[in-house]
Amino acid sequence: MKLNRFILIGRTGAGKSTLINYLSGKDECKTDKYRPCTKNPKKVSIQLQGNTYEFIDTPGLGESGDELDSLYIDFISQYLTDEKTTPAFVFKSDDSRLRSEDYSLLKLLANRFGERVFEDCTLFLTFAANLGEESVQKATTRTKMITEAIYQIQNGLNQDIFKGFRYVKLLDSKCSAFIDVSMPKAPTPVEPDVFFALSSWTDDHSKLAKKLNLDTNITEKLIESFLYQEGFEQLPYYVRDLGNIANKIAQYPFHNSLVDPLFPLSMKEEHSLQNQSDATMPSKPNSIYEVAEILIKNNISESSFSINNGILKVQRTMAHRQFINQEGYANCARVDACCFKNDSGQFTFFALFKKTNHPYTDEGKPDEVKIIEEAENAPTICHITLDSIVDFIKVIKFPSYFLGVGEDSMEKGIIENLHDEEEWEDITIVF
Amino acid sequence: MDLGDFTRKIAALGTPGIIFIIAMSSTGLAGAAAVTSALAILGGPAGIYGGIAILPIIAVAADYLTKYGLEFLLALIYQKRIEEQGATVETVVKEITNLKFLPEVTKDKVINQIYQTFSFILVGRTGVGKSSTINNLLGEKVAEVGESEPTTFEVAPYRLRKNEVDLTVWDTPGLCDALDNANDQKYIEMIKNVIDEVDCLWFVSRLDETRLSADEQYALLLITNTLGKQIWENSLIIFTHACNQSISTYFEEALKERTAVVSEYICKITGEEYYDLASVAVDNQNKFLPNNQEWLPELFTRVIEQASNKGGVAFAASIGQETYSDSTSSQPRINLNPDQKKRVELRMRGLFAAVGAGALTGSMFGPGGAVVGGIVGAALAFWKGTRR
Repeated sequence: MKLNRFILIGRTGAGKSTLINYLSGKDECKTDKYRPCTKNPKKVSIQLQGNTYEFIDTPGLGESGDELDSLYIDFISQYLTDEKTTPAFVFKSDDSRLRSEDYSLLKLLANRFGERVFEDCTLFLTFAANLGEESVQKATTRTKMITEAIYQIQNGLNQDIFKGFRYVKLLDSKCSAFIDVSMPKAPTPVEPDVFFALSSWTDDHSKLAKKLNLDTNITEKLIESFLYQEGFEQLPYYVRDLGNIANKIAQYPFHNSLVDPLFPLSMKEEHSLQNQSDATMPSKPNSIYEVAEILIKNNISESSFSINNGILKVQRTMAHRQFINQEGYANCARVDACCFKNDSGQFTFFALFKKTNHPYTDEGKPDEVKIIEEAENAPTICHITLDSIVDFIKVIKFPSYFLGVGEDSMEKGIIENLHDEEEWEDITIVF
Repeated sequence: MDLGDFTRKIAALGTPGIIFIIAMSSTGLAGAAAVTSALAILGGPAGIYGGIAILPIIAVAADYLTKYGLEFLLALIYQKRIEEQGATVETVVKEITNLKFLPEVTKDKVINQIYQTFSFILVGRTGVGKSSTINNLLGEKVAEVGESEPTTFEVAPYRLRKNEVDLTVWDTPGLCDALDNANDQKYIEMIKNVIDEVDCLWFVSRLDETRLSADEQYALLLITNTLGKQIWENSLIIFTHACNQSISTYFEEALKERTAVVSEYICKITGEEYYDLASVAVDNQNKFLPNNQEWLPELFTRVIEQASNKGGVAFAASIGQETYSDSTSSQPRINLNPDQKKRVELRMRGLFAAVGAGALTGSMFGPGGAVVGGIVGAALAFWKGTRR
């Protein structure tokens, strides 16, 4: 499904106009730090990685009074009748509970548009920097909160149940990266709890409801909706089918999310969004989130790292051309590095090193795929704790620098190498 | 006639009113004639005039005397004099001290009773930091801190006694988080029934918020309608999370603008043209604000400045001494800078000295120190301390 046009919906101050400016790199939409600002809907075209997207900014709904609301609703309805526009909800990520305006906004929309307004929709969670640690977990909780509110409202109106958000993105206008909270995790064995709750072979799904922390009524509808999507009229008999459904439900609230990312993770290559000078950016990061941003600034691609449960993990594999031996094998270094904040608020940086020898291809080039495969399986030679984020970046950017070090006391050698100023003279680390 | 109306009527009579109540209490009700002659004996100024004005409410007075007792009634009457007629500590204490036919111990009790209580009422969304802030101000855990989601609206008092002053903190969980407006009337009733005086209203919100949200607006509207718009003269806006990174580069502007946003809204709901509401930035996780100044002393100073007249004395007596330290080597918990000391001193002067008069009269307070001990004495000592 190719998504091109998004209509941003949300209450005043949630960050709709700022989001558009952030994606476009320009200040086309007026924003205000303190008072409601956007008065008129506005269409903005944005180029991202070769595709054109259209974003429609709207004024905040739900508290300006009935007269103004009905004007906005009319405007929104023009776009929602067109199949190509998807609704994109903008909510602050840092609210601990749903505000009355958020609730009345959702109710207003559900009343007027029915299920259509929640079909194939995206959720943007803004003000991510306010979340601090474990931002993904908090964003997930927030997504559940919003999903539940939608269920409750639809239940009250006897509508078909919301299928779930297609994408959930966590972002902050002051950082140049954002996180896809909804990205499905690697396939896991069936979650036992969910499976057993489902397989009780009765119509009583209260156990599963308890597990998901949802109304039993809503859980029933959720299961019905899954079964319908998978083509079953009732709970399947075969364990494997049941397992598939259980797996999907276990992904809640991301049970309906798409696999491909919607936008590139990093916006840095697209625009130079410098809304703060590098001078004020501290070299001491405050969160894993900021460390991720620093990695991106140093051209470490987002596909090489992941953030989960407050731990940032990075993997890089590099072949060192200088060490090709007579048989045509190259030395190849692999580093697995991770970083997290411990209980006293200090950052810990950790790196594991592996070495393999690898043949070049016939054309005399390194065989990238095989290199990575072999590096995965190579034994760890050493692991070290790094002193600072500077060293962290160094080992990640240049893992092959450390191949020349002798194996007897590799740890010592690596550390010495890291602090050898001459070696690093020509290299700049960007913060 | 309710207690508030009664005390107001008596307060409006001035000293004759006080003498009347004392006369009734000591002679017992024995008819209008007996009362008027008692008034004359007690030397009430313009005795006959006082008698004529008082006659209609003799029965009511008798009831209230029986129900509440003399000391309590006198205290209430004098409170009305302070809040509504601008009487100062000096005039009040002087008058009470000079009352004839009142035992000394009763005089002390009345004076202490007037200044014995102080109530805060806290309004704001759950989780903004109301409890943490009040706990930090008072130096003790008086309010429960926690993210518990309010499911019902309840007015919950926390009580603390410090230096003979009874501090009450009224929290209003749920007021600011209502998911629907069906319970307006119930909330108003609850507040009116349960809270009888408010010395300082706090509206607490996060400094890093981008809007005054609808639920906050609704809470402000309800509070204004319930307590009356004059409550804003004794109010303080508290902005929490002032050290949040997202605003640290422009936090002074944020303070100014966010205060303006709240003031604009209060103007809108009260119909007044202009409000210059007092506000202070705090951060319960940090001692210092982004401009490297401590926020706690400023919060203390603001409370002294903004609290009601009788409340100012009580509050000064309750934790005023925490602005001093015993030794020169350690810092006091509340570390006022010279400018803050000056502001506090100015406010205390206004509370104590009669309008137009200058310094305290030595005769009232005795050569060795305070003749009046207790709460007024403590507040006076605090004031003397800030003048050092």
